[in-house]
Amino acid sequence: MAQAAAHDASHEAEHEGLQYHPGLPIPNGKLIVWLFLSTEIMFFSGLIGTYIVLRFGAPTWPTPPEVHLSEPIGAFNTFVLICSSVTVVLCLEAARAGKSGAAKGWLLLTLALGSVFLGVKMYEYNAKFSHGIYPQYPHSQIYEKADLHYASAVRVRLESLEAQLQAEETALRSELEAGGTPVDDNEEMVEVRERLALVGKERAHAREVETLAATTSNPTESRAELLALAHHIMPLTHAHGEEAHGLNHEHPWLKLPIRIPGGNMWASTYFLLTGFHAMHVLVGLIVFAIMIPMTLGVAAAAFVENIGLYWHFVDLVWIFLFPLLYLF
Amino acid sequence: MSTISPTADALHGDGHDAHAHHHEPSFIQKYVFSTDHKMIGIQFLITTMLMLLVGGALALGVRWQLAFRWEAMPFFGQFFGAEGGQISPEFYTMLFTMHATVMIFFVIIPVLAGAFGNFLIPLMIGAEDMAFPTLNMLSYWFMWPAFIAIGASFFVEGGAAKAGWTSYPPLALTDLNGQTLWLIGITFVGVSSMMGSINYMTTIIQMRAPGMTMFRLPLTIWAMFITAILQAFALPVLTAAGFMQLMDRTIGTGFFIPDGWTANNAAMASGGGQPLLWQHLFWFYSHPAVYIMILPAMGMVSDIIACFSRKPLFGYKPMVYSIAGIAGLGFIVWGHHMFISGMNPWLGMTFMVSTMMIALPSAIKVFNWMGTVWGGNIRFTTAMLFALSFVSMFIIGGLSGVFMAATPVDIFIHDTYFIVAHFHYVLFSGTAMAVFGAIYFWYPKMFGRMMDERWGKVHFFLTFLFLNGTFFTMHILGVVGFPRRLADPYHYATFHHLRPMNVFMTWCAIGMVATQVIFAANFILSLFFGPKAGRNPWHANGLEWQAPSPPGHGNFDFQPVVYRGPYEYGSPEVDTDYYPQNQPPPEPKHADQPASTPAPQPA
Amino acid sequence: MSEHAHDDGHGHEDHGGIAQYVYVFVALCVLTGASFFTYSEAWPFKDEPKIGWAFMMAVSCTKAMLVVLFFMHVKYEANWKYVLTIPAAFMSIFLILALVPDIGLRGHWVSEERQQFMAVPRSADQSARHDGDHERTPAGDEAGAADH
Repeated sequence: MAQAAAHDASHEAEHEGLQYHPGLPIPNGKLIVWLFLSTEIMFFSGLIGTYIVLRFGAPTWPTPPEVHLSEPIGAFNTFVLICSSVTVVLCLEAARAGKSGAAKGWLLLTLALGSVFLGVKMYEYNAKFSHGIYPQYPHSQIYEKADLHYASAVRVRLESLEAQLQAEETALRSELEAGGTPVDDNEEMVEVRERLALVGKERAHAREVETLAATTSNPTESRAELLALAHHIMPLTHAHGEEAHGLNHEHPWLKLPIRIPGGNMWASTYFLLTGFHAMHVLVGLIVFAIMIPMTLGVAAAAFVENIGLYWHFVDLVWIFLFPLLYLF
Repeated sequence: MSTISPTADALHGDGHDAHAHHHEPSFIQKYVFSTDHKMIGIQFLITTMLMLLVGGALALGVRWQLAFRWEAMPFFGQFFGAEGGQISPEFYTMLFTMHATVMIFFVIIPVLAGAFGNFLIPLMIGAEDMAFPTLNMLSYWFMWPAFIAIGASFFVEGGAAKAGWTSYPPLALTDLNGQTLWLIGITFVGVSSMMGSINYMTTIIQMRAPGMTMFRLPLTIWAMFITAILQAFALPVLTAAGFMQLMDRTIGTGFFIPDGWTANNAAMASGGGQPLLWQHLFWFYSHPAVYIMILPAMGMVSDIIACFSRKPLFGYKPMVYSIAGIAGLGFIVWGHHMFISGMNPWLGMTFMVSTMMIALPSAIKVFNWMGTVWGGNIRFTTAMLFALSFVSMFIIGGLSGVFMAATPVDIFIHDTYFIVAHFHYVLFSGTAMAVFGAIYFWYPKMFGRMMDERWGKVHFFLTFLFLNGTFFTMHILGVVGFPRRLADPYHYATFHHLRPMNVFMTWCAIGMVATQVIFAANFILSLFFGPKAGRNPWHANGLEWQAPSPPGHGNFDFQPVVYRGPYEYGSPEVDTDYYPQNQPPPEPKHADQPASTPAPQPA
Repeated sequence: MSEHAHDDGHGHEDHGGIAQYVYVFVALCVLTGASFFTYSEAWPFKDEPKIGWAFMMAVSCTKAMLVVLFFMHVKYEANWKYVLTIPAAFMSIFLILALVPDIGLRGHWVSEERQQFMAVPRSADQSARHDGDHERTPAGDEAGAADH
């Protein structure tokens, strides 16, 4: 076109090589990673802000032992992530220096540390699930307060346990009788009967409390009974490290509904925050895994820097999550 | 190789991939999984226009019920399934919920940022493509899971979401599966927009042509840039809130479930959550989203008005600062949606004051548009008519916004048709009209042919007439107290006398939808029979008009170098009344006109 | 891209070095230990949790600054770093603060009806339990909830 011909551009650029006037002295990749991280900051501030206002506005909040939260494990995981931050930055330095072998080593170490973090996280989740702490209503055993609902939930659980144990006993008895062994001395039988006796006793107690709560004209009286029942199953604990010596602790197989004031919201926020953080760790690990076959020389340094920025951000989120979730 | 390889991708950023586009692209690469920003923009445009049909059909359902309650709806009724086309109350709530959802998330936001943002940003700043073309392609294809989720939600048990597009809990938590799919859809839209916005920002910051300083950018680009910032900061919060509501609905967390709440006589998991939390998080995104839906339109209108007034834009820098001001204030006003929610009154006061302040930068823009037109050599093309109607309709929509910014007034008009009138004036009479204008304006650049001006004007006048018939009357209904979101307001005797007005509005709405057939026909037929457009049919200054129409792969067949701002119309330095951004200044100061100035392209 | 990585490498060589990373790493470990110290028996402010919270937040912010400045190399970047980091930090703090009056302080305006369904503050619960175990005084835990 005439327009283009009249142009006094210093050279005729073929269309692929247009000249630009970059606004910032950094590569595009790094800029977009930083922009992405600022969106991530807003994402996590939405989540962490939710936690902060829900937690500090809540009338009460569980103590760590009640929800089986272990501070030393949390501190260990913090340490693991800090180490992985160092290894990823060393990987970058090695890549910049052109030592791709060393860079590969640091990368593998980062990958391993990230996997350790996730492994510990899985162990922690498991500890909660095994105590009936889920963010999920069909499974969660957490009740906010000791009230009529709670008493009936305890009773229902005990009744189903009783029915289950009775069926077990019948099956065992017929099995033993068919084998001709004496029923009463059998070790397994003794245990089942002991359990049955315990469940029967507790069921009767729970039913008594429930009936009282449902029928009484004096709510104060029934409240005291209900609280006593909840305390009997799992007492509230105050201090760090203190164990709750309730029925659930002594007989873990009971898995009775537990009363943890604020426990449901605790579970909601805990799994939300750690879950999204773990997902980010997982994404980082996947990228690290993809990088393993790459040559991490000078040419790849920009890429290593970008994924490193992301990884430091993940570390950064955990730096705030650890005290907020474990130590507050 | 340039200093910065524009095609290197975020995560696969080594230069070797950049050579892939030497090969002749296959059909799939060229039209389906295209990484060319122009093709992606056109894909967005076509998709959103199809979605506009869906949203319009849903709106007609709403209007039908309000005019002819409980009567079987002709034609569209056959899709309703139940009771021979009659609209049930539940179906009515679904209609307005999905109308808003489709229009906001699938039409307006993607047509502005997705279609025009994609198409115009690299062309206007003199780049050959976006900074990350693959990411750009992904941002389009991430819309499709959202389309599928929302589309599928119409067919699940209980139908699509029915809790309003604002999805307030606890109502949204009782809804059936449609709401879950709604949340999934919104999350995908959010991811798509987020990818787009960080890509736009990178492109605008890093890939401007030599000489294209920030204050030589066309206002469209400024608006797109600031919109991208808004999206990047506001959207993640909605995504976070959406995930929380999704978890409340599916795995039973309790973020938004208040203590002791029962639904259908069954106690929900109670954890002491707070429904107001959703409103805060939702509006933290959705109020800036209101500006996401208007700022790019304002930018495009500024370009169109300056071009057809043949005058420099009045007050370029104030225009830029007022966009930034609207965006900045837009972040701290979200509470004005919640005046009657039981929010802390202190917050209400703060939000009222900050909301009032938005009127200032908005007024600066309106006066500057008027100042631009004033004394101009105005050319009443279809695009200009749409742009002028944007300005005048935005005044009405903006002023009604000032009413509801005042808490005492808002308490009366909240959830009445006054609110509906306000946001339809801003979003339809404002943004949609600007988008029509932008289509008429940039169509020659997109497809290399002109749209028909005569039919374009018919389209404009009928749309303008019918939209005022439909939406202006809503103000009157609202002041009387006519409630929104009720399937049968005539249940209350107070509103019986408003029935004839609603019938009038419905006929206007039908007329408005029918008018768009003219537009669709013009759009499609011009693809094949429109007169061929040269590079610069409007004699505009922007860099995009110096590229071929339609631009080939890589956009420019020359190296663009920018010497001035985009609004130098009627400059005394040259004979022509326009002065393209890349045209070098005449060398001898006294020389009246160097012969090298190109002859204007015939339109 | 590769040219750029090269330029970048040169631009960064004059700062830090391995020794600096080691110092930062040690500082981070010490700070983690410091916030963990609030958990130990030796922490003197057991009765006043707010002091511990403030201390831990200060420690976390310090750690975050160390990571951002040295590991993410922000200390050595040009002025663009402020453009990106300050708005994000401001917006996130603003968002959290704006949630405080309505949700953070929601317990202050809660109705009595709602209180019946809310969890009971720990202190009230505990005292009521001890009462329940022994003599059953009429002071229920609702009274405790009401004055919260």
